[in-house]
Amino acid sequence: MKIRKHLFAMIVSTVLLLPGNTIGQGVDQGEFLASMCVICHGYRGQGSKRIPALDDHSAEELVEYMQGFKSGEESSTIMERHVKGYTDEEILLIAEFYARQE
Amino acid sequence: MTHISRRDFVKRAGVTGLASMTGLSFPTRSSTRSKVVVIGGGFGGATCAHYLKTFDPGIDVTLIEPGKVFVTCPFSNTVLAGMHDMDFITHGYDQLRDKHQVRIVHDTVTDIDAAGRSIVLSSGGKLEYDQLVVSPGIGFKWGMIKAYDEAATSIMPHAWKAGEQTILLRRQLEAMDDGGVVIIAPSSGHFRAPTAPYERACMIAHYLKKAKPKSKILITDANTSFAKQDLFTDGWNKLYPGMIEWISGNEIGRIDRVDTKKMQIFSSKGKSFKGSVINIIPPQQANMIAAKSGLTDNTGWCPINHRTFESSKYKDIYVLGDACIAGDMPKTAHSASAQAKVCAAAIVSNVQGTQMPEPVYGSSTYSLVAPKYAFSLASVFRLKNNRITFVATGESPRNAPKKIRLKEAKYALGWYLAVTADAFASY
Repeated sequence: MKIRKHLFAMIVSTVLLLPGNTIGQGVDQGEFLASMCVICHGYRGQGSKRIPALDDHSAEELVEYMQGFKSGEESSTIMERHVKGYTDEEILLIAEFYARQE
Repeated sequence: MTHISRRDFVKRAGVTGLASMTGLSFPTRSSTRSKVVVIGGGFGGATCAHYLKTFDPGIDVTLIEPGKVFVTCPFSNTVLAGMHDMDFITHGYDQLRDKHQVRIVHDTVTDIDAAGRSIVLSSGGKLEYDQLVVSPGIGFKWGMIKAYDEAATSIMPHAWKAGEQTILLRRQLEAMDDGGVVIIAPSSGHFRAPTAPYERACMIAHYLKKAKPKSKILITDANTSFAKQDLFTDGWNKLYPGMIEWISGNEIGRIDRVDTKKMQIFSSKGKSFKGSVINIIPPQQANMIAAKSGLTDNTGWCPINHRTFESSKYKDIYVLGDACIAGDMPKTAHSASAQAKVCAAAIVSNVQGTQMPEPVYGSSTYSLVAPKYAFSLASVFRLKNNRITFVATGESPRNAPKKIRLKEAKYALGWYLAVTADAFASY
């Protein structure tokens, strides 16, 4: 757990230092990546029937779930197969996008 | 008549302010001047229109679709099963118009003039564009199956474009006597929803098991294998023992002739089959408008730049959904939805003069064996050597307990509601 939190902090600082999108301009990478999740998880991650909502979690919780699915520590039906296609940086960007949703 | 939303105004004001503060000039064209026309109101076209407006509300988006409503192929098999009615799979365009100011034009495109950047409508009207998105779906290669023409589809429905054909096939199943034989005849090559023929067999079996238990389903397949084959075979054996028989293309070749009077079909290896209800899934290609406009290659599908979905043939024309050749991605609603977002991001970035996000494409395809029994194929794709390539993929485990199959059936429904809400802005 501690290691994962450390990793989380490390990624946050890395992403903050990256030359990201210009302010208020262009397509936001997090919003763009998250647009793939909504095909199942509903508009802006609000959930769809039994498919869980993403917008009621903190970024840290979401990263923890996703990393858990990736490592196999957390059981899932389909997410363990999806999450392997995404990098740690992308997982964080996605998590941060949903954490910003109300 | 340019509509600028508050969000967009703030966006622009922010950028201008920053630019004047730093003395830099941003090399961006005004997105409000960009006119994007989208042809086709299915999963590709509707989702693309939605996300063009999401990523940049200042872009002028017109969606052209002949139908007042769209009937989805996903979940049309559940209508055959009697689980849902046609209303459930029918969607309108009002919310794209009202929530996102997408202009909806119900008309048919008869010609694309790439050099003149305009399209011609069957009503005689002409529309100019800066960028054109073409998402017209599939067409059938008539003539590949002798005597199977448009007239024959009223006797042997394809039901591969949902709507009247779905209703016809359902009525034929209802009218069939107990003990009848239902034939499903899939073609080989690229076609829409590659695992849907086998799900269709399950959904028809679900209906027959209760209503006409002595009946049989025969799949006379031009293919020699198919995705999720073990999972399907397990499901058939478990839920519909003895009811569904799959005959491989190795044995029959392909169906190349039909006789609608005798209700008989014939294969290239000299086999013939008689059915009470016959569902032909004909060979396919990109919808006719794509070929007519010079967007297809010799495969009958449209080659594209895999990063942006821009046509390899014409600049500023983008092709997505079933009509395009998108590397490893299957021709499904989920693929079309993912492609639509990548394409929308590419167009918005191009118009604004900003860098496009690195594309990642996701895909989940659920197959229902019964209302409480489903499994899935999940895939993630990325660009490798400029080709959309699998980076992660996996099927549901073969030995999963009942509980997991039930969960995936519930997820299948959740997926359907989410993917349609995402296309038609009906959230």
